[in-house]
Amino acid sequence: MDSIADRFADRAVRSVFVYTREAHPGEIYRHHTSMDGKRENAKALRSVVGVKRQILLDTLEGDAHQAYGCLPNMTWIFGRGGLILYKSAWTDPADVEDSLKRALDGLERRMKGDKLPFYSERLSWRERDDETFRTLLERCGPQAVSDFFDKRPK
Amino acid sequence: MSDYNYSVFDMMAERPNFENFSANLHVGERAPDFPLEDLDTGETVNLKDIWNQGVTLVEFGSFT
Repeated sequence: MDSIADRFADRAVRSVFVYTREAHPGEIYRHHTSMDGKRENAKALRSVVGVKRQILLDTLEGDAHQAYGCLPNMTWIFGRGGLILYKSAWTDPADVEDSLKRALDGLERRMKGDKLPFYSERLSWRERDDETFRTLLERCGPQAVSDFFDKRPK
Repeated sequence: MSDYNYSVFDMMAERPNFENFSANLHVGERAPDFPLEDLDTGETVNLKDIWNQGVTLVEFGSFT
């Protein structure tokens, strides 16, 4: 997603990361009980994951997160004035990039007067990779692994 | 204190959020504005101040 942010910056696209509650808290990266704790975990996005985009912290109770659907890794695209151009339950970079290109092209063509917007919906697909996900959860702590893999419906 | 910041992930408890996602806030509508805290500067940034500059891509998430 940082790559998308970099490549579309020259089309005046702003890209930000809104930091929510911990989706998979564990012994190492715990659930938030204060904004200080939330800030510390958010810093790991920079220091461990290497996220370069602007990181914006939601309130401790997740006011924005809840209003936008409360899902663990959504992506939204807004036009000027907050017009919702895209909403996705998961962040799939290929899907996001395709939608961003369509939105930018549509907006440019609309300004020229030869395109009009219309509403559509589609079902998208993302990769399932339990092995990689388990590795990511392991860095959160053993409880994070157990809460997901041991307790999910068979 | 609400259970928003749960200490134990429960997949079944999160399922309604996925089921309800398509029901609220649709493409073509106006997004709600919220104040957020810039991690690096500590300053308050309103979402509307970002999208009023142009197309804005917002990813929600956490380290875990």
